[in-house]
Amino acid sequence: MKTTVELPDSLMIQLKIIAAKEHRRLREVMEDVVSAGLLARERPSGDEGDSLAEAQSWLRDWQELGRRVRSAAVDARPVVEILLADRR
Amino acid sequence: MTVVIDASVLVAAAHPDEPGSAASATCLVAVIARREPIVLPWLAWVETVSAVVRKTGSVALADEAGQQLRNLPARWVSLDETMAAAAVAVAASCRLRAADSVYVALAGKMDATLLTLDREMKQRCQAWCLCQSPEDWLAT
Repeated sequence: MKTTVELPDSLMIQLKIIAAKEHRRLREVMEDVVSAGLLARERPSGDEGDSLAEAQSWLRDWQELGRRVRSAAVDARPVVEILLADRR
Repeated sequence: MTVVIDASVLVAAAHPDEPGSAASATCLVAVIARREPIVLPWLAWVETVSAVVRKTGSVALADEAGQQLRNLPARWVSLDETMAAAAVAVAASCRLRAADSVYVALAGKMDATLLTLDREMKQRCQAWCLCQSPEDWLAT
């Protein structure tokens, strides 16, 4: 879904810096940040904050590997399609 | 609630441009962050490494994917005789393929929710366990 939201300049700058540092699209960084914010609102305690950070850290590493997999692709099919085809 | 995660969800979460990726990634983050118990069959490791090496031809990348997957805070379960017998029963009664049957049997044994992007698995296994797509899981 597309939407228009006004954000303070300072927030946008921080988001762009993260995107540039992690070589990611701004949209992806914003999705992470919004998802994390929603989860944090559901589970605001310190321990759960730690587990959220742990989860996001794992996903960041996992998606970074995914980007390298995409760059090295020799098969054009989505990886999920390859996996499911292996079962058939 | 305990979740068994099909390798399709794990792999999709790594690739934001692939179908089902956003829901899979959000779902995984939520599961880990909420410390829901995650149970995986060792088969998920094999399937993930196999899919990556077939996608890239790179053994190094496939190994790395396998190692990173092992960093998930999950309990890994072997296909011993008991689990194999359960998978056999699932395969026979649901007419599911071998790998699908292993996931369904594990979810049934663990009284867990099975998360998958495989529509056929989801349609056929409801008698054995609650099986949901990541989108369904996030909506509940």
